[in-house]
This record gives sequence, structure tokens and C-alpha cells, in this order.
Amino acid sequence: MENKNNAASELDRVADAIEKLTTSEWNRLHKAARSFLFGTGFSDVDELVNETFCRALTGTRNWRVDVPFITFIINAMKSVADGDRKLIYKDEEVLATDLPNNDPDSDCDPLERFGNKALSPETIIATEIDRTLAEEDLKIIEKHFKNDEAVEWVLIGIEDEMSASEIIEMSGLTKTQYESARKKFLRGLDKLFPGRRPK
Amino acid sequence: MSGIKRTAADKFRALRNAVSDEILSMTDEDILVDARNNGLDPDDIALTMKSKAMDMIANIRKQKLKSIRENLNAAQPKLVKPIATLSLEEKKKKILEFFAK
Repeated sequence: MENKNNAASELDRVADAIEKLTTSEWNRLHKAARSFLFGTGFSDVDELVNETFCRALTGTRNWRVDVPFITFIINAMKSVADGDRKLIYKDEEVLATDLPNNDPDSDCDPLERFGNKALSPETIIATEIDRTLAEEDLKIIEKHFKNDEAVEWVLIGIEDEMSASEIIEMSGLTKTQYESARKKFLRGLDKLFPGRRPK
Repeated sequence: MSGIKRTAADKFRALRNAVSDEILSMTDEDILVDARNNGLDPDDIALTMKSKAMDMIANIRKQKLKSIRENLNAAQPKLVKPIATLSLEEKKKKILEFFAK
């Protein structure tokens, strides 16, 4: 009963925070959603935002009291965009116990015993689709900034998780040039994936 | 520098982290100007998103209520409606007795 009460109060708490979002916070959320669409199977902003709100409202994602709601929801949306399915797939291994039952007397369907959800054909196909989308979107980003050398450095640096000082040292950019290119790149990504992805 | 061959998914995760930090660091004014520069109306964005979110909240609340009702119905024994067994005369007598007290 206590859990049900907690779930109800969590729903009220998140709903209340959503209702109190300001115009600039809604726009911040919209920009984040537009920017996070790349490399995902989400077709538009609404789909990604709805999925994130739904997880927060139903308690699948917990909002810690000490975190501002907008920070929590943008980080939650980032995790949703990163996708659980790929992580499950990467973490699983085929174990000896996953092998089909070879006992001819058994009336158990071997396919029922083989593998698990993460290794099911549906999941593998979906993961392959995600991977293809990710690779295609990466090409779109690289192509868009092809002739901007400073942005290219920033892109390479972020992808390889280099620090700002490492990128500056390697590229020969000044700190101002680096900051300017970084802003241009990170704030401009949302323009690359504005519409519904053709299915 | 990691030096490890990174997949597209790894690169996206790093990109999303950087984008998220950048968007959270923008001022309210930056955000509104950015929306206008992208040809968007910030008020319209806010109204539309809020309206959709409120619909979703209402639906989730309805589903929760429905689920609570179903659980209650399943848990409680069916209440049997009292059958009127008293005749009209008996009822009148009861009322008289009640006021006579």
C-alpha cells in the first residue's frame, strides 16, 4: 500500500513540476529533444519527449529532490535517446545454458530454451536498425560540418572524449576560436534533424 | 584521448553528453533567441508542448484510477443488496416505534 501511495505522490510531484515549467524551460526541452534525435529510432521531438515524460510520470525514472526538474528531465531524455536496447544487447553473452536441449525425449521446444530476450531475432534486427541509423546520422553530421575545420576538431575531440585543452593543443585553435566552434556545433545540431525520419 | 575504437553509439553518447551540458548552460534569453532564430515561436512551442503533456498526465491518472478500481473490485467480495423484506405495515410500525422513544 505504501508503494502505491509513493507511486501516486511521485505522479503528482512530476505532474506538478511539468505544469510549472516556464516558456524558456519548454523551449530548452524542445531544443534538447531536437538535438538528441540523431542516431535514434525516434521519429520526432514529440515521440522522444512523450516517452521521457511517461517514464518520469510512471516512476520508471526517479527524480531526486536535490536535482532541478529541467536538469532531471533533459538527462532522462538523453538516456532514453541513448536507448536501453543497445545496452542490453552489448551486455549479454551466449552461455552454455543457452544451448538448445538435445534430449530427444524432452517435449520442451528447444527454441523456448535458447537464448534470452536480448538475443532474440527481433532484438537483434532492431539493434541492427539502430546501428545503421546511428552510422547514417553520424555521416550526416560529419558531412554538414565538412568545410569547417574548427568544428571538425571539436567534433573529433568530443567523439573521442578529449579535454578542451587537448583539442586546443592538437588543433592550434585559440581558446576563443575553440569556444566559438564548440557553441556553433553543439547549438546547431538540432537543425540537422528537424523533421520526421522517413520509415 | 581514449585510443579505443569507438562505435557510432559510443560517439553519440559522448556527443549527447556535450549537447546536454551546452543546452543546460544556455541562459533563458539564449534559449528564446535561439528558437526565434530557428524560425520557431517560443510561446507557441511552450503552449503546444504543455497541452500535450497535460493530456498525457490526464490519461495516466485515468489509467491509474481504472487500475485501482479493478483491484478493489477484485479484492472485495460482491456486496449483496439488501432485499426489502418488510411489508408496508411493518415499516410504518417501525417508524412509529422510533418516534415513540
